[in-house]
Amino acid sequence: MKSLIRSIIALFLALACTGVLVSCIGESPWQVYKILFTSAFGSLSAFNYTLYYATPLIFTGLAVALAFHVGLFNIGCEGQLYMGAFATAVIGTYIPAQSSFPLLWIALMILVAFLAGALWGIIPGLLKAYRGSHEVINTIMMNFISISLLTYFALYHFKDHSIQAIATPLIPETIRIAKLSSWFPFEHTSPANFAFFIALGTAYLLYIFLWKTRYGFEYRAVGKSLQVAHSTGINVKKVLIFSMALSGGLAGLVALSEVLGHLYRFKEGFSHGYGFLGIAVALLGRNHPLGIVLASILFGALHNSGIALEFDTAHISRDLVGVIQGLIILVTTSDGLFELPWMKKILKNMKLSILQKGKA
Amino acid sequence: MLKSLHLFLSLCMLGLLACEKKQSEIENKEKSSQAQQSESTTFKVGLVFDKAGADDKSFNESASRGAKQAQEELGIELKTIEPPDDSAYELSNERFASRGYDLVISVGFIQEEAVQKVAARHPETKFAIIDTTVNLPNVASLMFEEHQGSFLVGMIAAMKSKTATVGFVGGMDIPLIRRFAIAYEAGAKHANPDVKVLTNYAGVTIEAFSDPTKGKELASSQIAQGADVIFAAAGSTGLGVFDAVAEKNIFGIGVDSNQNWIKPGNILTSMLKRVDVAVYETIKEAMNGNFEGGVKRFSLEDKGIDYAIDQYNKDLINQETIDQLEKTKKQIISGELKVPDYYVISKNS
Repeated sequence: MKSLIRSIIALFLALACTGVLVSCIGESPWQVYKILFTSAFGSLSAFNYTLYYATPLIFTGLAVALAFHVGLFNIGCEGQLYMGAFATAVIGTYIPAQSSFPLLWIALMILVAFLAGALWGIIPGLLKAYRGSHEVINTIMMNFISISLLTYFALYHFKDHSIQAIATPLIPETIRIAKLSSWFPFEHTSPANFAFFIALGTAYLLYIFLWKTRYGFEYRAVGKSLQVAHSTGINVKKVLIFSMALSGGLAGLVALSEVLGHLYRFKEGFSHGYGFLGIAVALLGRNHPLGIVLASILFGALHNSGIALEFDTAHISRDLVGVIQGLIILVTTSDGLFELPWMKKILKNMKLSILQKGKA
Repeated sequence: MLKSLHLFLSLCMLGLLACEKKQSEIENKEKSSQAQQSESTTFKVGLVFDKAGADDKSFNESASRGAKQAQEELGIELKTIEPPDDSAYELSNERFASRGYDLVISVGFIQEEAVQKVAARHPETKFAIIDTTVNLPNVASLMFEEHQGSFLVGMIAAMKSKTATVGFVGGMDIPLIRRFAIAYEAGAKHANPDVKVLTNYAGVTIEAFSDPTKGKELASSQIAQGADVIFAAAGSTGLGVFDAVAEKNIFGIGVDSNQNWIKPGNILTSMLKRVDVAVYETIKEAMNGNFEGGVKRFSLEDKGIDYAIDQYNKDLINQETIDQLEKTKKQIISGELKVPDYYVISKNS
């Protein structure tokens, strides 16, 4: 509760900073706020795009958060989600076009996406557990390997020659995840799909796993102190390896919303840094699944409304949209803000003492 | 501490007051502009660039020039957008269509799928896409016969080269750029059968069109292998190529826009791909109600493809070369001379 209120206050502070910035370049802040809000939540189709952009961020946010709980910093989500997407897109083309059990096939594809991501995650995990090499460096390097390698395969071995872009052929109808518009009153062709609900389900499962199971306790214990966990008889190596695999697997699930749900193929450059945004999402969501879902929706909304800002204002270019997004990330994640003396004083005067350390 | 806090808060209040005032001004302005809009039915055109952006001095800029010309001469309402990443193409096109724009022009093959999806959703809106085909009745696909122009600049390169070695630096390794490369090589060999052609691509991703550093690297390595004329068909990556040739005081060849002015004296010519003409004509047709979907080809014959001679390079190319080029040009137009076309070759293989 405390961190939720903190995040909300931080968000408003960030918006205030944005307001100052945009008024400096001659735009009206109120106009900008209005555009930011209406283009993300103002209409059904706008909301649909927000959900669509949020979905992959939920997966990568959860992936990063899981690793955080074990004390690991998984920066490799980008490479892991490429693996998941490529594996589903390529294996997907071999699935029969007609089938009486589409759900079974989709379940299989989810497994493929998870395993492919996990494969890319487990390598830094193994290196960390057995050789002690730092996972930050290894995961970053694994990103480069994965993206370059898969672009090579997509270009020279699995390319769909009917289009100019580097992409694999379309996957059959059987394994395509339905659009939200088939159940909800969204426009027929809007991109958000049921992967969003799978993402929500995954968030819930991760919550259960981390806080209600023995394994989750072991994971968090290792995260708090490796030595203590080791002394109490927890198999630390196993935890390190499997947590990285799980984290990679979660990142691999991005394939559900992008490959199975929207593009229906692997396309070079399909991810605009979902893996890296996942780190920001996890930080903003304070590594809690519920927080991550909310943070993802916020980031999805920001991305969606960023294009609208460029569209509806005279002076705001795409670069400034990046500045505004960066500003919001910066302020919303600066935890130390609430420990500053003057901030404490304001909060105390406003009788929001719940926000102060040690009282929640 | 408290003092600075008060200062901060009062500054905030001041800022808010200022904003409030501006807001009312802007609202008034908006109201008046809306009133104007409802009176006149301006033809609204939306232009979506690709990731290289409007200022690439090449392909996108050419499209931008055509649209601006239409804005001045035809009085259209023009709005341009530079999508920040790949996932934004669809959203940008969608936004134009759903805001009631009459014509949406998408620059670059990378937007093929986005236009395919959005145009199917909005059959009442007209679309135009450059460099690739989308088979829908409301989409005009503007295609250029790049191989014809590449052939001609290949000839110029081979005739100018003292080392009998010429270079080609392509952007992204895709069929479109291979089409440039193959015809360039054929043109060079046509002028001088013994010429050696070095071919390199800057990469396999869309970033290969906006990487001048890589362009300079590739050009330098080609120069080291003896090349003294280098054709850059690589978007803004080409700017790095021009840097390299200017340093060694040899020659580069520009692409899409007339790039002769970028390094005067070191740019032999530019292969013109008149995206600006195509964009302007499409806007004009759509405005006059003559818009037609389907593939539209621009070639040497209608000057949609050409090579540039202007004050910057007229001293670099002698009359003899120009005579020969004009002769070849006529042969290509009449069909007497067949230029190898990668699109045809790759289909047959």
